[in-house]
Amino acid sequence: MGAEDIRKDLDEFQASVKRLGSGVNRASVLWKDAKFQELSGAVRRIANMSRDVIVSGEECCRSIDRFESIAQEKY
Amino acid sequence: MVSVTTEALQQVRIALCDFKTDMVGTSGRSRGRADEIRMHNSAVIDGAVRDVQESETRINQLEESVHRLEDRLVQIRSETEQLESSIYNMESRMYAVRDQMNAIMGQDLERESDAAASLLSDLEYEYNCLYESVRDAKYRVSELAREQQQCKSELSRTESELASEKRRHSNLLNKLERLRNAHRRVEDDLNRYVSAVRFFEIRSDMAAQSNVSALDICISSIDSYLSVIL
Repeated sequence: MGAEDIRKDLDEFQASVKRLGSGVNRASVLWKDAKFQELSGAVRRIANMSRDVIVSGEECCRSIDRFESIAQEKY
Repeated sequence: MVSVTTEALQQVRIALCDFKTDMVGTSGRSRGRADEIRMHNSAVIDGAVRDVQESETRINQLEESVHRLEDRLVQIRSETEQLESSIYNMESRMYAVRDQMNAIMGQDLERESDAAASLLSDLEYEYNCLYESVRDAKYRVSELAREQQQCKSELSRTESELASEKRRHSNLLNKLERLRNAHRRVEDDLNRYVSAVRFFEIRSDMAAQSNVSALDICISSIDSYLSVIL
């Protein structure tokens, strides 16, 4: 629960972005003109945008871990 | 120059559509996760507040016990002092009575035999009463001494437990404060994360949809081109 669920979501999210990139790159063998470069650029922009999600998600996981670590303290 | 095949366009289209499908509901899921985490953290903080309150209750109980024991020790000291003073007075009286009895027994009993015998009897009675009172008072003093020892050892144990509970209370308060601060940080980070996911979902969907639409036009154009009979 908590950070683990978010980490799982982030892994799936990263895998989706990676599959998109791989899918488009596979087409590069059969599509070699300028339009492909434009499309490739659009996919790169999506991948760059995904960094914000990854970074904010990882920060979230770290702060949740810190909270849980305090919660585990026994007195 | 154009260099593309329908197969390539279809490959890219499938990749874009799969991506769009993957992204459907991501922001809703992240909001759900955030709500679960908020609820969990609130429950943890409520538990920490209860721990602090229970510790405060325990401190109050222990402080009451310390006061009760201290009061009892004062009472025991006072009662013991009174008894010791009383024993001293009674013993003094016993010496006096004994002296009187000795004096009477040393007199010529022939002359005032009845009056002397009566006085002697009274003095013996008084002596015996004093003896029993002194014995009872000394027994009570020894009882009080035992109770005093018990109270002192209970007081020492309670004071030690109180000091320990106060340290625990301080740690629990510190933990609660750190939990609240950590939760505020989690809250900020969750808001940033959910916003980032929402922003990405909208922007990436728009971008993917725009490219899928463009690819559909390309595929349709190639199909038209290929269907022309020369």
